[in-house]
Amino acid sequence: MRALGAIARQLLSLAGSLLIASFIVFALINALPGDVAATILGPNSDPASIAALRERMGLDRPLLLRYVEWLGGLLTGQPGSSALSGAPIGSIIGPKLAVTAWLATLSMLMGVVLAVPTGLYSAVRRKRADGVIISGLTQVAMAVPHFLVGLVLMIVFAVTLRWLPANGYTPLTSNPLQWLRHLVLPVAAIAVVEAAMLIRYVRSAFIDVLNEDYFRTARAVGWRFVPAVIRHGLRNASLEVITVAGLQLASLFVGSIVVENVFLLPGLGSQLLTAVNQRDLPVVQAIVMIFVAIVLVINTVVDICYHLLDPRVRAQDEETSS
Amino acid sequence: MGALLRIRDLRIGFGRAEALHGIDLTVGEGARVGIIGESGSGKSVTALATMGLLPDTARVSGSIELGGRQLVGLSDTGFARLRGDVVSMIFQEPMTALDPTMRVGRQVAEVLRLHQGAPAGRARERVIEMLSQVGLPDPERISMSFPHQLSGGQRQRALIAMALINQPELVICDEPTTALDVTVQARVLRLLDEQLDAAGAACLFISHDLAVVSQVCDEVLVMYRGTIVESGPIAQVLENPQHPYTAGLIATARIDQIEPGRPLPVIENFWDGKEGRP
Repeated sequence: MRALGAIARQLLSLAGSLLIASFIVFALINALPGDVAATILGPNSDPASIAALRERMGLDRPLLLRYVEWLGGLLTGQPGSSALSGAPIGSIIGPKLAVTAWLATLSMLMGVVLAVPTGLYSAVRRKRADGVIISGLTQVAMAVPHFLVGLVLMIVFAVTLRWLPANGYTPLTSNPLQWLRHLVLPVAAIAVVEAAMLIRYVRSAFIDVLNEDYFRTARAVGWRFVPAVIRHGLRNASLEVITVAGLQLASLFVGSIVVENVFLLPGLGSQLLTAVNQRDLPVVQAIVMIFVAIVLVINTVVDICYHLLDPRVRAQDEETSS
Repeated sequence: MGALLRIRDLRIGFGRAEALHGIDLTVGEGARVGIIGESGSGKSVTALATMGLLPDTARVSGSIELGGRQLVGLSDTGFARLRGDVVSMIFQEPMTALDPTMRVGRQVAEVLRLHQGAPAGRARERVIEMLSQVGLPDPERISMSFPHQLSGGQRQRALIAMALINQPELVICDEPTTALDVTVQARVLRLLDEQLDAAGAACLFISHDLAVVSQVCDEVLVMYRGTIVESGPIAQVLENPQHPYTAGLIATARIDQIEPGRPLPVIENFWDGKEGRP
């Protein structure tokens, strides 16, 4: 029950953070130079028609009122409509969010799947040749940008071997196989680089655990090496790894724009760039808010994981709450 | 009394250096043998070799027989079957020797279930019984606690429970009380003494503390730089040390007998023969 209470507190603080963040996002976007009405009407429009359009769009009303309206829209899933096309923002960015969400989460998932066994192996073999080689390779792979790996993969698997499409996207709901074929290369490009980074953290986390007295105890009471790692190593090592993986996932959401452009994936990042170029501020505002919300949600999930995994963190929470 | 542990010409090397230069050692069934020596003398390496817990970079030659089984060259799987069941070990650092993310009772139960395959219900009963046997008050609460909720002395008792729950034939103690407060130290030593007696287990007790060893053991081996320099019944070694290093150890342990104003003895004095035997 206490654990549930602590999780409820985390969620409450998430809600508070989101509220504050929404105000900051709104204030910043509205403080930017560039008037939506002037942009729509073009450079040769007269001030009177601009003022008329501002009034029609409600831009002349007090900032705070517009913030409350926008917030209400966000909460009911209607964050306004595009200043250019008039289309509801939900229908514009919904499909784009799906692309970016698939790309980021699948990449990170694959990164973790690659990094945990490799990191563990290189921790166990840290004094042997293969362990040192893995460690060195990760150092190099970390420094390579996603798009470069993406281009190489594209040249090999799409252009030369013609196994996979070079670019484009098909939604999961319309054709799962095509969806997968389009995502394989971009996901692999991101996952390889992120895994390289994560391997270093997994490795050092496991080196710490293998040197811990409780790991020696586990071995001394009769666990063979691998079961000892699984029962007494994974949970302890995961505390450190989850923090880093959470940060990586958050930065993938925001940073996937480059890979999206390489593979011509219609993701949120590309949409943001388009909206900025078109001065479509309502769309920019909504996308920025989504990015902020994603980062905050990931951080909260990491905190909750910590809470579930480490009884010492739980104890601290209980002290501060009582 | 038959020999339980018989070590012959055991040599252990790391890289080019040799840490142990061929030692012989015998522990009879139910016997209490102390190993005493400074850090780096090879006492812990001897213990780890017997447990099969040396790092895989170590080179081991010679013979370690436990109840007739040859342990040198045994696979890790073979060792794992013995560890915690036939031979168990109590380490120096109770504060960090338990998994911080797992309840204490479960960690003790694991040892039982790993070797005996006891069903969860019976294992729980046995764990509670064992925890109360090692003198932990309110064993039910302790078994549901996480390590950080227990004191150092309580943790060491839990670790003793883990080491003894399968009634091993040999218990290796590597400075089990060094990290504890002096008052707690005495109580844990007494407990260990009783529990070893009750289980009829033999004990190889490693320490640098003569007083502690003389409290628990009947025989003592003195190690210095990877060799055994002296061995025998504890009273005989203490009263009539044959080797200058042993004489030095005993003299430096009895600082209350130094006349005021005289410098404290150091072991080098005894090597040079400048100092008489106490």
